[in-house]
Amino acid sequence: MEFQKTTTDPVVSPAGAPHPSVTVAITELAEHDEPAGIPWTGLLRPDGKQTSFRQPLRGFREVWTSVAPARVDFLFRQGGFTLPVDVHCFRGVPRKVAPNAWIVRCPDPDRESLKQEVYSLSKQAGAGNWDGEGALALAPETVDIAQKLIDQLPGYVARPDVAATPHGEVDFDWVIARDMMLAISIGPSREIAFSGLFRGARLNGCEPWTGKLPQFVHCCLERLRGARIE
Amino acid sequence: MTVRAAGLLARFALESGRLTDSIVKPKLFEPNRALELSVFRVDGLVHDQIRDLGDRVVEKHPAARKLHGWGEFLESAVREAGLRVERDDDPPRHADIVGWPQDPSERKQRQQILASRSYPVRL
Repeated sequence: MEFQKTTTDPVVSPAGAPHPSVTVAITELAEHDEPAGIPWTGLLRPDGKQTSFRQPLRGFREVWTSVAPARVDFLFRQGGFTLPVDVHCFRGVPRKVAPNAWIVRCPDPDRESLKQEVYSLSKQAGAGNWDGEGALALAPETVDIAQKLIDQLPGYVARPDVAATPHGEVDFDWVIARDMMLAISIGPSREIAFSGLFRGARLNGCEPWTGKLPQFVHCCLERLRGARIE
Repeated sequence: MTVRAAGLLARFALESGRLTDSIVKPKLFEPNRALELSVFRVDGLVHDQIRDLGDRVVEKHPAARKLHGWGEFLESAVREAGLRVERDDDPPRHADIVGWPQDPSERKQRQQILASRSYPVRL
């Protein structure tokens, strides 16, 4: 099945650069996979929360327009049965993962902006001695992993400070208060290093990057949750 | 004019985003590739004298454009972080904080400890 993809930015992004927002026309999907005449009446999210549309929507295209940029993982129809919707929007290209299984995920503008900021670091710190004191250059692989790490961050996480280090790492820093902060970094060793102060507790460690955010990092991010920035 | 106490050190912020009104960010305490962190002893100095010291650092730094402020902390905070201060007085009052671990997570933890024990002076 082919899908039409349109982009608001006609310039082709260089390799490694996150794509700008894209508009995906999924009309063909609606025609071929949705039984005609049955409207979509709401959303069922993975956390169990349900949201009903003000009026039933006909076709995936209407749903896409109505709910973007929110993430949608399931839709449910009149009659009560749930159809998992998994249209994976990887750089604007919908992907079918199984019969009647599509991932619907709209690009999160905040995350895309953060990825762009990380990409910019590769320009600032892409050459050795970029700080005038012998700093290591940021490797393209490190930048790539950092961008993938951003995709793994939970939705509740605030935007971190992002910076390159003289040691060839990309740092993500959350500073909530003088005794409440977390740093996560990825470097040439392909390890995720994390370090935090949590109101008297001190935690730090390293785990290899396996494509997913380490569980311990999830725990650290959870500890920051709800803390107010001073 | 407040004269700074004995044992007080300052780390100058030559880039924006290292200080808020109430917090010194750990990034300010990031050591260089040689694992040295340049600081100055500011005991006995007042605000304007410290600012002058920082302005001279900006003049000599290859990439810095302006002084954004500094973080003040006691030498005891350095010991608490498991590091040590090595004075060289080149230029006068200059010292390096050394003893940083190679492990990145350990290194960042020490940065965070120093930040948690520091007080910002923003310009």
